[in-house]
Amino acid sequence: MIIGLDIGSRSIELVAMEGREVVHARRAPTTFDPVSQCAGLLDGLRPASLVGTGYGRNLIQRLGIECEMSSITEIKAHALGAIHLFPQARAVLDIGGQDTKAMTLSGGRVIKFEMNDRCAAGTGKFLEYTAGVFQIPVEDFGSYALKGSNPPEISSMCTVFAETEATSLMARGTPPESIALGLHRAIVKRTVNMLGRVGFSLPLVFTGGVANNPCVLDLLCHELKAEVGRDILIPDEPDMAGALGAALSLA
Amino acid sequence: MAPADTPRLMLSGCPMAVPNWKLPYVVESAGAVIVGEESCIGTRNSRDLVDESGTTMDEMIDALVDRYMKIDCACFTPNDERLENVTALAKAVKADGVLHYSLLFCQPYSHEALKVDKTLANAGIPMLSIETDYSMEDVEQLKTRVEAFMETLA
Repeated sequence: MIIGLDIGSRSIELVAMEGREVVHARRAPTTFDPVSQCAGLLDGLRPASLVGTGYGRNLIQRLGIECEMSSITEIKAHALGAIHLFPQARAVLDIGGQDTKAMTLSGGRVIKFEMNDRCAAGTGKFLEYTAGVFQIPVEDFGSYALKGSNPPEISSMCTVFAETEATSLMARGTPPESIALGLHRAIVKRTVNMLGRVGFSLPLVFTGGVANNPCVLDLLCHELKAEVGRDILIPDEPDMAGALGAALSLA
Repeated sequence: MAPADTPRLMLSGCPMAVPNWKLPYVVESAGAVIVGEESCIGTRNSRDLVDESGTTMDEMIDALVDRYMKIDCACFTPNDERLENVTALAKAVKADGVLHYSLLFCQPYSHEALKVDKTLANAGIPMLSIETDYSMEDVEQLKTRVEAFMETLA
């Protein structure tokens, strides 16, 4: 059994494969004790090889498991996962908890990639934080924003300044759904710029937890003049693509 | 000594003033070797040395001026020869890829990263653009970028 473990900033995903068949898929929040969280996910599984990816990719060495260990970056992992699920993929967009990554693919390999700099603006963390300001669970934030109309232009990409901007808009009487829509639009604009810098082409696979956000998806389709299912492809479990790719690196 | 199949990377961009060894440390601990450096502490410093054959004061001053005028730092314009020099150096040192380093707020190099990227792409040499500063807090992010860049070269 080969296990891919994607230890991200917000969540940990595990994919176990026998041959090229996925036999287990599990997830847990990262917390401040990722090693214990990993141990919990691995409970009852006996891997022959363990492949780490994500920020915590080297933590697998501390798990005290006797097996072959290796690690790859989340760039390669998401690309491998995306290509496995959608062989026609030409680009990958991954928006995770702390990073946004854009990659172009050719011949099953990453040709060029971009990542946001050290700041987590415009990532899942930005959505989580701003959803908190609206007192809405992050899972529901996208459908909430879709109820908005005439979104105001949010010019601050800094999470803290964006909150200040949202607060001033609220004080001016802008409906909260529309502010939420404006915040989503700010993220998508930034993402489309990043995709432009790597010279992407379609179809594009959208991975990472933020691919579950219907508003980000809707706006992305609009910006790229793309259609879901044809130009933008989303795995059933977009947050699992990294762990899947890690396992596939050996499968 | 590094094994023969070790990825060969070249640095280009801002000078890294001593003791700013963050990026070289990240690169070489990720398993690559730095085989060349285009910057004011690299080949720009040692290339195009002053012609010492002048015998009169005027000739010597002219020789000094000629040398200064060959500096292709991003803060001079036009400096198209920088693009040629970076490409030529990358080829000469047989670099598998180039890391373009710009210090935060050093806009000339940040802007030229795009031009260098295009020029190198035309020459078939992959490039990764990095913008960072003297602090250590982005080391993990840099590692991910550098390792991912090496994976694309493998």
